[in-house]
Amino acid sequence: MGISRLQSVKIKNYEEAVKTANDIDYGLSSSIYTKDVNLSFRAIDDFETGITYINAPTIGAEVHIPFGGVKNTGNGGREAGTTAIDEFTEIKTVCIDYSNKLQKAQIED
Amino acid sequence: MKMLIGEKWVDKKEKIEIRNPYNNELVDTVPEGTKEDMKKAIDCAVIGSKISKNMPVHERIEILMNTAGIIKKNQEEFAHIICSERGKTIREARKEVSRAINTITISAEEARRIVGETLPFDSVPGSENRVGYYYRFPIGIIGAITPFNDPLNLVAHKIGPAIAGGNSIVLKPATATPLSALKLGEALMNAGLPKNILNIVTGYGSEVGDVLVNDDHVRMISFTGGVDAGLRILKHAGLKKIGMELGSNAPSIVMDDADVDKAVDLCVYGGFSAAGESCIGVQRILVHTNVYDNFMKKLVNRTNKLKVGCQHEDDTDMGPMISEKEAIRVEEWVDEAVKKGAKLLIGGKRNGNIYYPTILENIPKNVKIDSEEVFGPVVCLYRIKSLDEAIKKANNVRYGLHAGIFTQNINNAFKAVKELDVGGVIVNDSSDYRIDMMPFGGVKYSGLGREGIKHALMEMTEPKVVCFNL
Repeated sequence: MGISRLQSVKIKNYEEAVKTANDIDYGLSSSIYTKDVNLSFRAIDDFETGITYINAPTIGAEVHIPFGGVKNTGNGGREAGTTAIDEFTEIKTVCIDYSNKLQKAQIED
Repeated sequence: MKMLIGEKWVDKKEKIEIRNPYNNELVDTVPEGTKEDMKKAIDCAVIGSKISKNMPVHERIEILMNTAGIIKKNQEEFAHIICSERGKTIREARKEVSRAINTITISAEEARRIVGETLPFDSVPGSENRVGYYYRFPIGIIGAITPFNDPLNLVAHKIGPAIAGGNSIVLKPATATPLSALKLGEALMNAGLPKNILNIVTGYGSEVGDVLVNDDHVRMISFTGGVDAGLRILKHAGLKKIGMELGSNAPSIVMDDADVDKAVDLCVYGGFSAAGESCIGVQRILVHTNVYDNFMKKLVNRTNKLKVGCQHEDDTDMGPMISEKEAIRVEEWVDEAVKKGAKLLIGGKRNGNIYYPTILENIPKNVKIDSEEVFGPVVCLYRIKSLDEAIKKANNVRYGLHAGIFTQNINNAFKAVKELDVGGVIVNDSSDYRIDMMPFGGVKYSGLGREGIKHALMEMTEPKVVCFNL
């Protein structure tokens, strides 16, 4: 949940921008406008958000890509995309012994 | 019908007649394509591959879903075409249409799932601060050569993933059954497939097939058919990817703890459906000696009840083979085995294109039917004393596509799964079981690679690695 309020903050450099961007309890989406390839990849690592856009606004996440955030934005799950199916299903592990013998898996003979 | 080359449906003065294998009635004609027609089609596919690779995934999905919708709306018409040109019973033809709808729908779905993954470049010293991934891109032009036995669905298995993956296609459908393929082509064009992406050249293999196989623009030959033709393609194809779904003389094992009645029903169905002209059709049944006599009697009784005849009638269980030539070949194989000591339990008769459901036992060694693919309605019974003997017998051929095993014993089942040299093991059904999403293909002389849309897409796309040095 967020409250819509547009606020612009003047920053001197990239480091300050990241610090300011991360200095909140939420972390859903972030974005950076730059043509510098190194800086854009740094931003992907540095932004504490579930989604980072390069040269695009922080909105536009659609049903086909994992959607969700870090920190107080969510509990770590992701909706949308195939990741949503991971959330809504469980793994059943199956092991079949067809050796016709007594095999002890958890102890040395 | 006409053939599809680039932007146009093309007709020719020279025609090939498509005749109903049951009564020899003329169903339709198709143009007799030439080497030049095939070259033109490949030129168009070069243009088409550029259009296709730039087509967004959502458009590919929409076109394929629309195509599935068009086939569904015209299900009966498609079924009657398959029934008429191929000789499958109308009930089998209807089933094939619904499978083709499924194949095209899965292709649309899988288009969405062509993904790559992020690579940990910093797992190697000296590669710190490198970031990258791979994604899959289309390989270009797919040359598809398809058989007569499933004239719609086996075409769908090549065209569907080819389009989903962003390729263009040149299809050479079976000479005897091009109508289902052309009808599928028509559905794709009506669904909005841009021109030049799909090209269908009808004609004889020796004239048009060789040009397709030899051409350097073509990046993959996806072939389904007999092993001899497959080996010839391999010799001539040069440097291109090869997908091959070839033959088999599929074994099904019946153990003494099996549900015999169920095994009988499923082996009759798997042996004689589509007149036995199926690559995974039941050819060899290896039956445990403790249940052999019981199984054999029930199998013969059940086979005796099959209604053989005109494929257009709803209550017909088995129709004609594709041609009289093929029926005569099967007759010769059975006669050879009987002459050398095999016992004929039922069948062994031919009437024109119809070869009656046939069961043999006491099969001598060194006869074709023991080791080669009969591709007709003939089932051979073998008496076995143990699972080990059954597995050895099952594996002792040059083919390895599918195998079935009937047993209630879980240890037997898993032993068979592990030891049978095949691409698929079906437990408590015959070798003849397949659904369209599963990986399908064989080992040894049964083929190379796998179909089944997701798996065909692995062949029809290739990975591009992207690495940023930051």
